[in-house]
Amino acid sequence: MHKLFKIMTTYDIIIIVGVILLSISILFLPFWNNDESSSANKVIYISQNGEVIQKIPIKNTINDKVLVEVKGPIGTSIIEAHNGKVRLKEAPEKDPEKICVKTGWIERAGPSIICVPNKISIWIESETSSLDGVSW
Amino acid sequence: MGCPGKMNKKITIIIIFLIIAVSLFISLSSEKNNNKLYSKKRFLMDTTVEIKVVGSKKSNNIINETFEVMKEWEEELNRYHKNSLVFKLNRNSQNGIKVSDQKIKLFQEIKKYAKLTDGYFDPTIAPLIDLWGFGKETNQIPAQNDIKSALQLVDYNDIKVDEEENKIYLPKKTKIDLGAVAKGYIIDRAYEFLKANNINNFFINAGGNIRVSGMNTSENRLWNIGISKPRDSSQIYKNYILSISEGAVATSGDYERYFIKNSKRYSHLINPKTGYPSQELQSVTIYTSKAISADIFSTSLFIMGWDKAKERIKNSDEIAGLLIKEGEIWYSDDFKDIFAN
Repeated sequence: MHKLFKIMTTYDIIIIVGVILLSISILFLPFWNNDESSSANKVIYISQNGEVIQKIPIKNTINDKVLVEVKGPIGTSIIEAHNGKVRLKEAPEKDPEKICVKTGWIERAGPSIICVPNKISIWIESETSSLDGVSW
Repeated sequence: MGCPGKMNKKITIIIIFLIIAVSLFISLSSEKNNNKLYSKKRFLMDTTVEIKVVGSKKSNNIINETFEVMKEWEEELNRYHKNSLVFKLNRNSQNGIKVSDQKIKLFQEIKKYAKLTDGYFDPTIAPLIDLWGFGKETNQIPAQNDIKSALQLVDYNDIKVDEEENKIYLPKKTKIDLGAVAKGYIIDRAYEFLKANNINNFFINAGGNIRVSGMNTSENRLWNIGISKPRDSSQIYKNYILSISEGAVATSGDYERYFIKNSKRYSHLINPKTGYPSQELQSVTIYTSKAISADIFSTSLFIMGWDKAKERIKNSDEIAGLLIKEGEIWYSDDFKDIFAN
């Protein structure tokens, strides 16, 4: 080891330390990214048949009302997002129970609105949520 | 420059250090990649099913395969699917229908749970569900006489399971509905499938029926589960967040499927003994080891009502529970143990 240091110049050591520091800093890059996204960018997800058909950033709903029409096997469902909340505003006439309308507004990650006849699910996701799911 | 041998040595040393640094980076970053949370949702069993897996990129494929396993089972156990086993059993099975060993075991388990719950869980309840219009979503309050005659067809002892011949028999008019058991059973199949694929940290949620394994190691914590408020299902009880590393949680409530007539709420949770929906409780949440058990007990304890359900939970080492009725919440001591705070 003594011999090793003897043949290395200060510049060699700077290069080696530099490479190690660079490697370590690259390692921590993903954490910095996470910190950026943890400023709670909540997104409304609308899916049909298990496929996400639309994503609405919550911030887009603060000032404006967003209405989304989704056509399904029994007609058109109307979804309303406003003031950071989302609900299924109108279910098709043929939906006998209209459970999805009865669910009302949701405004946080966890609960979801389900419309079985039209196979629609609506939920909110947040990077910062520490809840993995809701039992209902 | 005058000493090429020395220069070569230097380059070799720098290369060695570089290799060490790069391999250190690769090994550490791959460990981090194996610790990411992958989540997918799919519409199955008339609800949204979500599977979360902590693992590597390959997890996405395993989640998709798990959904396929669940779909196959759903098609077998849904009585409205024309090719399903349950459809066939309901149609004509007086002479028996031959099934696999696994399905014999399922029906043995179903009968075991029907007995364990004193018949408050009874899969032969299908005629009553149809009468109330919950299967076809044409809700109505049936005539008393119709309920009386439908009740005569409800008796789980009529299901005959012949393990030697691998056959299941139902009497002519008996019809079964596995609504109170299928979700739980299918979640357990998904659980087994993930375990068989060496996945140890995961979370399965089928419309609020949940089973977990291990931890959410991507955030270095246990799996956290909220419980819906029965009269505002868009909200959860903030004081009752559950934190678990193994086991299953299921909730049955009168707000899932119901109709209101003359200001009275009629839910889909029908008492197989009276033929009428139970109206005392608003919801029951059960924590136990397997999803099939959580599913069945949450339904049958809801139907039993406040006193009987409480007694049942207190006397059982296997189930912990939380009951909600108008203005009152009760939970067992062992349920308190899984509260996050």
